Amino acid sequence: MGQHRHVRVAVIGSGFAGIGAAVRLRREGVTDFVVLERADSIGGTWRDNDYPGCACDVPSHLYSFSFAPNAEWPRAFSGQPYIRAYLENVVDTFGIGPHLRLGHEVTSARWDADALHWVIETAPGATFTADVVVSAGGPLSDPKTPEIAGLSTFPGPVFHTARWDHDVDLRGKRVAVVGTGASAIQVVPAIQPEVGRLTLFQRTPPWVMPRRDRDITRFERALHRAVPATVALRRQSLWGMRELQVQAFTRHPGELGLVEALARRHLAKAVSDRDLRARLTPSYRIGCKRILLSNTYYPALTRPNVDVVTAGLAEVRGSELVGADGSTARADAIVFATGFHVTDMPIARRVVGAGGRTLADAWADGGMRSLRGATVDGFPNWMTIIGPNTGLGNSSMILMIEAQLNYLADYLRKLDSLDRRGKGRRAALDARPAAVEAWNENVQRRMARTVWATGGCTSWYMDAQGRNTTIWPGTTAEFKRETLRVDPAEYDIVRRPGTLVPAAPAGAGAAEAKEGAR
Amino acid sequence: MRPTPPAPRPVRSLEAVSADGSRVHTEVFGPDGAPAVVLSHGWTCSIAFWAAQIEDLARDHRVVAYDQRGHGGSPAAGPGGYSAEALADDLEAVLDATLAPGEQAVLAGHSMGGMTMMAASARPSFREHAAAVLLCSTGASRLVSDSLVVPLRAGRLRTGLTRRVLGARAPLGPVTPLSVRALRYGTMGPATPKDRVRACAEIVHACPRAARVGWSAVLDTLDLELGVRELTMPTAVLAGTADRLTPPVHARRLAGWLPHCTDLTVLPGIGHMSPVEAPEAVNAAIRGLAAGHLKHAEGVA
Repeated sequence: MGQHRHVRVAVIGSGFAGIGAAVRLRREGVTDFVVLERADSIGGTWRDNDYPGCACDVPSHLYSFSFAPNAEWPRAFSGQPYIRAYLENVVDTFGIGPHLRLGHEVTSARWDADALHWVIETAPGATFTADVVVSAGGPLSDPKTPEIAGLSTFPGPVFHTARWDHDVDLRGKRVAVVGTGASAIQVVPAIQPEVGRLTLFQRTPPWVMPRRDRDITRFERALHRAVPATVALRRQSLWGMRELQVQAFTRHPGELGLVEALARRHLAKAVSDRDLRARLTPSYRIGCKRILLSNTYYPALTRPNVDVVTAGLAEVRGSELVGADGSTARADAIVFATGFHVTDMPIARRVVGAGGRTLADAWADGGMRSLRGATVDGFPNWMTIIGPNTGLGNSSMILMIEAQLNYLADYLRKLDSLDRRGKGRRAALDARPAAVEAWNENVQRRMARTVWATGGCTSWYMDAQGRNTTIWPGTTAEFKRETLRVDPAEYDIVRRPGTLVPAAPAGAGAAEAKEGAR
Repeated sequence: MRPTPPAPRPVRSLEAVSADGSRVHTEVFGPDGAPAVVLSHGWTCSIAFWAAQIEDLARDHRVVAYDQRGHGGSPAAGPGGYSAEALADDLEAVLDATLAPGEQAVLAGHSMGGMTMMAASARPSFREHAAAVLLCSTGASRLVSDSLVVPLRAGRLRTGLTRRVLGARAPLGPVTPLSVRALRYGTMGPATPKDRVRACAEIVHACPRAARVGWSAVLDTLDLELGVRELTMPTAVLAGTADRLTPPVHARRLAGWLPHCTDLTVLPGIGHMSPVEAPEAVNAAIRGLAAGHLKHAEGVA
């Protein structure tokens, strides 16, 4: 309580982004940093989402750090407990433990323009000052639950998939699941066999493709252990396939019809009832919303104890649930599989920049925007990992995280040399508004032809104004190239007021010289 | 212009004392009271490298030139003594020792001398004295990976081999026809007259091995990109198209990053040693900056 400490870098969050940042910092020789985590253990999204059936829909050998290959992944798509354990293992292997500050929720981070550092307050009362803040809170961290009229009148348990209530026994109960996204399609088949009745509220059906999941054999694992290069090879081929796919999403959405045919066949094989099939067939272009992978979702929906309501949940009257189409159903428990605050990151309200403005205010008009997914003008030495327009529709976010860590490393190297050459006259970097503007314009211009913009759907990639501020409209290789190093032309150097002698005004070439002395 | 002018005689020579106590051998040429020009040479060179500039400019400028630490008359530094900060420290020491308080000068740096300007851009003495800057055949970063000394496509192999060549610890030995050819290949344009190549070879071969190796390690990882952003005074950039050490891609980047770039000159057929290969162009660039940005310069020049 009440302690204070200055650090070179404060990392907010201990999911893949935060832990990845911590490892990278140590590898860059930066040891003066803390990782602030609001919960009492690390893992971020992969700690919070422990609902039945939770797994990652990106193959495990790709959904892991390139610097921490894991020969022991048990399945092609490993479950949440394995992913969480992997992250814990990375923390141990790379000695991140001493940097962790668990139970330290950041309540505010404020830029001190005189001292050139961030002042960070945490919930237990400890304060930190940090030269650089790495905001690694992630987009899938704060669950989003819709405002439903009468929800407070519901007598039974109500919870979100990302905050699963393990004390509630759903066996034999009437359970309503709201939502049909990536969480819902995993939780529905997982709980369907044991619940009494399952009512699924579906506003929009997802496109579902076969999930080529299987155990990774003992032989494969032994091979991976004996010849580590085989792990890398496996990773490369998984990466390459997705890298090719994404071109269809970003440049040729018209060619996705073939993929739709595969998804239709997948549906037809599992669902013989024409009426149900019709209700489960999407009317938008595949890829517009996230493509979901499951072999068990459709079969579960055909079970006699499952009802699919093709409407959102509109109202709750006691234990009676009313769909937007007027249909009613009774339930003992409600599970919201309704996603996260993605385009309105809650941390943005707690970050106060150079002008005294919060990040949320800075983003209020134009939506989330940044320079190379990382920095924002007016917020010196503040960097997001998985910032605006760094999300992927089909490949591993770890690739994007690692690309952003390259950027972070170069940023810190440059900042370091600036400080050293300044002989104690500290400096900070502030993204130039024109650079942020240019980056964002380019992203949005490329977005225009992608399936996310043209596919005829609304998705969680869009903000309230219909802008896609979430997805990177290119390949991961492109993003990696764009974030290999900090371009000095895109930044202004901020020094403590009065510490940088203005360049002396020259005599003869008056006009030019004056300009030079700004 | 004679190809190899005899070394001009300094009116004064002194030892500036740098922040860590290192002595920096400094020579002053030309008339007192004339507009000042400060010359900072590159890796493995010395004051003698600027012979053609000093001969021309000292007629109507006060020309200050100094030996970077470990080079020429400046003694070798101890361990850890070679760094970007040391470049800035030494330049500051020279400026303080040779210029009156508030006196303005045009600062010209070639190669590592240009990097010296970038390294010093936030220093008080530098900002006090630098009216304008000339960056000659230089770069701010990625010096090894962008070098064209090894005739391969860009990539890890070329970078690795270049690092070995530039960081080589072997002594250069005496100046021989072979070593002169090698030097011309690496650092000078194909049409450079033999006597100029020979003069350069003598300067480079005179560089103590420890300084050469010590500085090459600094150049390997150098990143002064943000230093360029703080060169807020009028700054001109000059490069040769045949430069294998700091190919013109560096100059174009510098011009893009400089807050106040007055001119980007790219000289066809000229290699890395532009002050020796194209003294007329370099002298004209310095004179132009002096005339445009120094008080009293117009009347004198």
